[in-house]
Amino acid sequence: MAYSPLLEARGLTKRYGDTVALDALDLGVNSGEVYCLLGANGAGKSTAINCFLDFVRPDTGSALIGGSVVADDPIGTKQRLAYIPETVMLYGNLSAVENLEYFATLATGTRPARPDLLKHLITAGLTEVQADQRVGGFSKGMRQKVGIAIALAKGADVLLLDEPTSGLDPKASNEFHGLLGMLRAHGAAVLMATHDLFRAKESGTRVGIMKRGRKVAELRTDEIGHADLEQLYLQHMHD
Amino acid sequence: MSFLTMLRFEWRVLRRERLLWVAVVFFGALGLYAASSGARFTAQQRLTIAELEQAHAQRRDSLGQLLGRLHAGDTSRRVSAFADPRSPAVVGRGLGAPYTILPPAALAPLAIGQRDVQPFWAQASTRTKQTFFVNDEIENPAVLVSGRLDLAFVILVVYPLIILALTFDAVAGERERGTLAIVLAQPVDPRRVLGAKLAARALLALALALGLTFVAVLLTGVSLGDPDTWLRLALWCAVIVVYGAFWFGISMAVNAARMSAAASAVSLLAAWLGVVVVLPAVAAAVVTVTHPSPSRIALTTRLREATDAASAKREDAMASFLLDHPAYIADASGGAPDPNVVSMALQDAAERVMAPEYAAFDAALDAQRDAAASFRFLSPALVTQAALLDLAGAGEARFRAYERQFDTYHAEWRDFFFSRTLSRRSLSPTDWDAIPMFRFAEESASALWRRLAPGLGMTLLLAMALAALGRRGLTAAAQAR
Ligand SMILES: Nc1ncnc2c1ncn2[C@@H]1O[C@H](COP(=O)(O)OP(=O)(O)OP(=O)(O)O)[C@@H](O)[C@H]1O
Ligand SMILES: [Mg+2]
Repeated sequence: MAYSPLLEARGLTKRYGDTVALDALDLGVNSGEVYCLLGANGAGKSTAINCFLDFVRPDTGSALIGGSVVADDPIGTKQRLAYIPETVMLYGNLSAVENLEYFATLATGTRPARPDLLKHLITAGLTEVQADQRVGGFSKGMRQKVGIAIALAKGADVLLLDEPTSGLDPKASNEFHGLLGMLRAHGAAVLMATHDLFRAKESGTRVGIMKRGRKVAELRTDEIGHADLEQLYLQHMHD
Repeated sequence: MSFLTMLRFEWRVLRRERLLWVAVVFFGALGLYAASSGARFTAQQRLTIAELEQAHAQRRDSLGQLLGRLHAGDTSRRVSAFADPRSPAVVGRGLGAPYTILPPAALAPLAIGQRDVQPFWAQASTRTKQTFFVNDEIENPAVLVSGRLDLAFVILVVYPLIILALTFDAVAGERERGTLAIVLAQPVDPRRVLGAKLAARALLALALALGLTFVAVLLTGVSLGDPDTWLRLALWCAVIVVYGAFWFGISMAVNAARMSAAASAVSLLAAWLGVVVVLPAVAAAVVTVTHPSPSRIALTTRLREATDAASAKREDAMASFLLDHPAYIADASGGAPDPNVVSMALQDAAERVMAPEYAAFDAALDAQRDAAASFRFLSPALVTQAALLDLAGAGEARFRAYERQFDTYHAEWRDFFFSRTLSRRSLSPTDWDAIPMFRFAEESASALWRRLAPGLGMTLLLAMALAALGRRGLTAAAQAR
């Protein structure tokens, strides 16, 4: 292969008893790309993302990050990766800065200075006052911002997002995608599972539609309009 | 990220949790109350001992003065034959006799243990030794759950609960709250991070138990002048560490089993119940069946019968006694035999009959104690209990040592007075000063250590096996979602 995508799935297959969660899934996400995984509940989007985190070991096939097989080097491949699930759960009794300090230290092995931590939190959209507040009282949107700050502190160039904006109000969702655009502009490769077709078209560079563990369609977002994407999605869900 | 940094972070999180402070207050208050109860019990014993010693010193002084006057030929006062300090038979039977005292050990305030059922003093006498002590209680495992509240009990029963309460949801809780996913998305070995989460909590419990010991030692006035006491204290702490490691191992294995927090709480509680309550009770029940206590009452009855039989055949008893003590015959001046010698002869005859029964009785008790000791290996709680009690001098080992030393002393005492009775020597002031005194010789801490080592070693091995099992499981816990 001439180029190697930052994120790559090669024939990923995972079964749970009789359920096929992933069925020979192939995909690749390059630096500067936002790849949106679409599909009904239970289509296998989260399972795919979890394979990149070594939370799930595929039965066959492999997940690769920067050319390394995740299952062979789970710790090494996590070095450049950030994960933002639907709700970024943090230590409720600690402040945003303290949470970030812990995860950044876990991620980089060195303890960042407070000004650096504050800088990342502010870049992610929190105020300085909020940065010192207990995370226990944070809204979902504020938690996602701490998640982004972790990615920034880590200098991650591979982002795995599992429905990161579901449940966010439109403004928070908009802000989140703004940050995503910034990370992408810095060369990050983003894999995002989402049910939001509008956002997928807006901030995604490519979309893949999944059904029962298989990728049934894949296209560039600049080749298709909003209405056409919805049409295509519904068509795949029906047959 | 270094392990220590991970621990520090966990402590930061824990510090802000109410559970920790509830545990600290509960454990601390209970521990201090227990320590004060041990201190009160020990102070009471010391008071009794001081009173006994003072009473003896007074009697000894006044009898000694009387003896001096009589010896000097002062006949101004008539002395009853039963209170004559010159008579070796009378003094030997207990006139002004010293007490054989088992003093509380250096760390006594830390454990009451068996001490509330063990006699800790007796008076020296030429009488048959079997009549001195009545103590057939084997280590009673019910003491584990219903014994007097002392620090050893708190460590044995409550300390594991604190470890388990702090660690039971270290992994499951984070998984259920969702923080685990963010943690495990970082480039760290899950075994290390999760191990740190568990260790941080267990170390807190350990610090609490050790801290409590030190506070108890300071508050109860344990004197720390003797290096041997320091060694015992160090061993006490080592026992806490090893016992804690065992519970940490159990918690680690359960945490790694990928159960819900509620399920792991139930499993750990079941383990606690099994190790601290059920196994000890089973061990006790089995020992009671396989090695029933020999009856002290039956033995006393037999001794009375043997004494009666000897009195009935007084001539025979006298004849065989004289056969054994030809020196007495040699200078016997005829006439009626000394009643003191007759009573010696009767005691001798009775004890001759009883000797095999005593031996059988002691052997049965020893066998029972040995069986109880080997059953200890069933449960680390039993091993730990025995170790803590031994270190505080409240176990049965120290009492057995006291009994053995008492036996030796008793023989020495008898020899001293019987030989003088037989040679018809009255006691002189020099003799008076040479009357044997009892002084309990404490087992050295290093000898104690050799005795405790196998049990502690086994517990430590068990802890390591459990922790290794848990460590393996923690890797899988990273994938369990
Ligand atoms: N641990 C598991 N045990 C058994 N079945 C599982 C497990 N995880 C996922 N599955 C099954 O695998 C399939 C794919 O699940 P997955 O969570 O990947 O779907 P998804 O596309 O993320 O759905 P959603 O949109 O609801 O998040 C589903 O049928 C699910 O029931
Ligand atoms: Mg999902």
